[in-house]
Amino acid sequence: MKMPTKVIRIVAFFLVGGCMFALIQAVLTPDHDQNQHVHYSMTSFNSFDENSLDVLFVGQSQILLGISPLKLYEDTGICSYNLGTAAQQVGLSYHLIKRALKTQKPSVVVLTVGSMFFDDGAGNTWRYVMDNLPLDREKIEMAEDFDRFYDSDFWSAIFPILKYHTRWEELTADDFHHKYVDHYYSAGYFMVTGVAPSQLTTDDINTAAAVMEQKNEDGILYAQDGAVGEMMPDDPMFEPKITESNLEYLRKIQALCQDAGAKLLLIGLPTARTPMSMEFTWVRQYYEKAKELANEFGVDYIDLMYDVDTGIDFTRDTYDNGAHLNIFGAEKATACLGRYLVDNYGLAANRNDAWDDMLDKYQSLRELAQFENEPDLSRYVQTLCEHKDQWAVMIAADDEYTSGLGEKEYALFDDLGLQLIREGGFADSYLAVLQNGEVEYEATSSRRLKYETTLSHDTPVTIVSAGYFGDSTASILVDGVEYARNQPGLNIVVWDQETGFVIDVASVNTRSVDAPVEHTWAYNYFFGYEQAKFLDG
Amino acid sequence: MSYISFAFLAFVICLLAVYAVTPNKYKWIVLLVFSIIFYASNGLDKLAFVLGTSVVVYAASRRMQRIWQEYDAVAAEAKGKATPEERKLMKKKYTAKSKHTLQLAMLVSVGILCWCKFSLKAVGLFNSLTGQSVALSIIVPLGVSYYTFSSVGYLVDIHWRSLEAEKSYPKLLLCMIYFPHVVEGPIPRYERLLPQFDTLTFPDYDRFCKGAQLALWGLFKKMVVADRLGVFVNSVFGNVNGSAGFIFPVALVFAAFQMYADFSGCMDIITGISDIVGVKLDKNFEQPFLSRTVTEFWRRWHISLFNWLKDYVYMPLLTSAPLSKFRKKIKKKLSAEVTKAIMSIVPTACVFLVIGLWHDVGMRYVVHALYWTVLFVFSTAFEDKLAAMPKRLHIHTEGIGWRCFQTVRTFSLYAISYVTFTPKTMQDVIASVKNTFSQFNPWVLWDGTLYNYGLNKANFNLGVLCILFLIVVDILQERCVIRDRIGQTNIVVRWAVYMAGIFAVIIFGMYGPGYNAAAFIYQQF
Repeated sequence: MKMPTKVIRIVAFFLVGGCMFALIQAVLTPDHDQNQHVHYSMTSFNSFDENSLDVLFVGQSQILLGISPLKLYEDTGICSYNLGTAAQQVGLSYHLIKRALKTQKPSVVVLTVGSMFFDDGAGNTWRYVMDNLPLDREKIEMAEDFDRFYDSDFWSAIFPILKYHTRWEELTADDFHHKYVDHYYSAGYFMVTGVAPSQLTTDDINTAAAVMEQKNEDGILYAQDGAVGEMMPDDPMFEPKITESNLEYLRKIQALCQDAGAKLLLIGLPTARTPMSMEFTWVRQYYEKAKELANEFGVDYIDLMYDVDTGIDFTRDTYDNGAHLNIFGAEKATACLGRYLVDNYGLAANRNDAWDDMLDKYQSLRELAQFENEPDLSRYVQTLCEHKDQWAVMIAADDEYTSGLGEKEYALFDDLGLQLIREGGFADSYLAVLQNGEVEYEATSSRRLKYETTLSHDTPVTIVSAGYFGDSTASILVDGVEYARNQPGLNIVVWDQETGFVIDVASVNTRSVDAPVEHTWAYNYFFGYEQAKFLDG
Repeated sequence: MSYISFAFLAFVICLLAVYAVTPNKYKWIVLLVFSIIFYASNGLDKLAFVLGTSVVVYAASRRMQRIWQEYDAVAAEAKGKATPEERKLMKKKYTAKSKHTLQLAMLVSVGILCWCKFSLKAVGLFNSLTGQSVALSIIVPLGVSYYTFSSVGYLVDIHWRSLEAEKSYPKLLLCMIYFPHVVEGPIPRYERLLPQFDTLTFPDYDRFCKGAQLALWGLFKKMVVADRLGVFVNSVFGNVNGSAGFIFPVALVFAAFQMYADFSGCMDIITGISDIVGVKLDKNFEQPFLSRTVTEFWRRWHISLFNWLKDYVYMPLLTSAPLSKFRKKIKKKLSAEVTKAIMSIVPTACVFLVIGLWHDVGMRYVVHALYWTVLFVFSTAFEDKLAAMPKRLHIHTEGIGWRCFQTVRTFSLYAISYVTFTPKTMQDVIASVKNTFSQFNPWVLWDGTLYNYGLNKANFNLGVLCILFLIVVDILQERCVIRDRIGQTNIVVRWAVYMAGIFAVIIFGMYGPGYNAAAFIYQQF
């Protein structure tokens, strides 16, 4: 073999091998984004034009779920991006800012001060972000820090396959496609639409923290072999503490911002959990410390829990009992922060077509989110009316549905074209299907009712309704999956004809005078729709 | 520095880079320098030990060489003048002189070996007998038994005058600590190595490819097969009272293949690399699990050790004066087979005892030695009778059935011996045997119980597949040199094989964060 042939062969071999390596690594590396319903990826960040972003948000999940750049754009015209990730530590924030500053020149960088109180225990949260980042100089620096702080394997941070190669046995179809859910139209914000209320007030959680702090001093009594003694605990019950490494990173972030000509703004975000159920819930002690820290560093600070009234109502604005905000809470927090940004930094509006298009998508999702959580029957049915050409609606009565409904409610259903609903007697069955803007089937009877049809995307559906005397059942089987809430009253499932996804599962509690609409919330209703509508293809 | 590390890969690349720019004449110096670096990377104190031993070996070899030169001169002068008795006396005198030197050198090198191997055990025994707590920390030089065995063989050969002593100390040192064989062997014969150091060349494309292929195959055997099977084996034998019945036979089969894949995997890695630099190493394995008899098995398993033991322990003992006398005595009274059997008992037992001692001190190694001695003596002495048996039973000995039976039988005998080898103590050995027969539970083979020993279903099945693959490759290797056959195929097939190998190691290898990488098993001996 001649020399040039040999060289070509060697180069080709390494090229083929390198491509295969990259391919196999991509398959084996888990898509942390999808599997855990948390947002770890920075993939959509690079799709924004260079120097087009005025504000960057960084920090842990409270900011990821608490600040919506599209709401900010809607209110103020400011273009921003949310680089928050779950349990993001300040070290990781530093590296993300550094990476972001390569392509953007923001005026303000907003960091959740809550991150400062995280200790260095959770190396995985670095991994989740790093694993899907492209290999470049920044990633190598990141891996070096990761290696230093978590005593982890540098090489496996650079080449994730070294860690994840053992996943060959758990690969599923998902690992071969649908990588990187790219929520570009939410600009990094992670939209969660469910509601799981917290009844705790700010005072409640602060009182708990104060009592726990008091108990730091108390020590504990213990009994051993009948003897009673006193032992001072090594671990205090509650102690807001900032580690030296976090301070070091904050200094580095400050320097980074200074060099880039960006203002650093620290923010506190509201929570409504006790410190017992969530260590870093935003109690006053943290707030005080955060203020001291901001003073010491000479950076701006605004606390959306203690400094201003955002109007957040934790009985409605959280999806996990007060740990994080849902979209309704996030919109309130963002509105408040938006005013602060405009007032204090004089940021100008930069409205443009690309962002307007994103806003359209965002607004349509927000509308859906509102619909998925709408408690008022008239507004709920009105929305159904507005979308009756796009959505299929399946209704099945269970137990007894007539007692809570009056002329006002029947008039609403008239608008949907449902005539027979007012004919049903006490404890009768009722079943209706609306498709393509028309009533496809409607029946009421003292006997059990069953109807089978096909929705869009050739999806079979079987609906059963039985009143009290028919053994109280409401079943709506879509493609073999039971969706009906099976609650007394009217059970409703809404299907989006275009995407082929269930988008709402509700029941109208007709036993109550105001007949409220109650919803079952699940990640996949919203995300499935979102995925099919905006991400696939 | 482990053979399976990024550091070693970098080491080899650096070596090749330096190799490329060094004239052929001086390439052996590059090997020496890199061997010293390799050795020193495991501890400078260890390097001091091996350097000390090498100086002693060199001095002794040179001295013996001088003694024999002197003898030759004297003998030539005495030719025709001295009487045969005088000449005999003269030879005896020089032999004794040479022997003294040999003994002294062996005292030092074997002494160091014994000190490394047995001193901790001796102190432990002393402590347990006297109730004292004497503490001792010793340095065990890397590959101490391998370079001791090889250098002793070298000295003995000079003493026997079957070899001339090497003049260059650095070359002798290179023979001892040549980095591919210093950790786990094969135990080198210096007379085969030394001439190769004078004809080193930079690898051409084909030599490089072939060497790299072999090393890759070794990596596969170690990282994918051995370490995977090892998880199961360690789980069973790490807690011998945690299992019963049929689990043990499965674990023994796994243990046998683990050892084979581990040891021969290491051999393939280092042979491949040595091939690249241009030094042919002796074969240590030749498809041992395809052997049809016990004696054949020991000709194919750990070949360099057994050849060494045959040459320097078995044959000298068999031909030694006391045994020769004894043979003459019993020959008249007993049949030829029985004489043969009795005569082979002592040297065979010694060989297997040395092997046992070489692994470690302990009762289980004595049992191991006993087991093999009985099998070995029996099969050598009654070879003819055993061979005649199938004929009497009208068995077609050339048929595949009989050949398979023989192979499985030999493998089973080997696997059974692992019951003394794999558990950590004699008590565990006894418990293993007891627990094997405590329950008749064949259902564990298919009811999923096997997946509870550290390997889940996917990994266990992959382990079994790997064993089958190893067997298939060995069968093919019997018929042809697979490396050559792959080399002859077209580029698509060839590259597919390479890529499959590389990615099999990357994907299925046992390594990475969360996996505690296992050292090569024979490294400790």
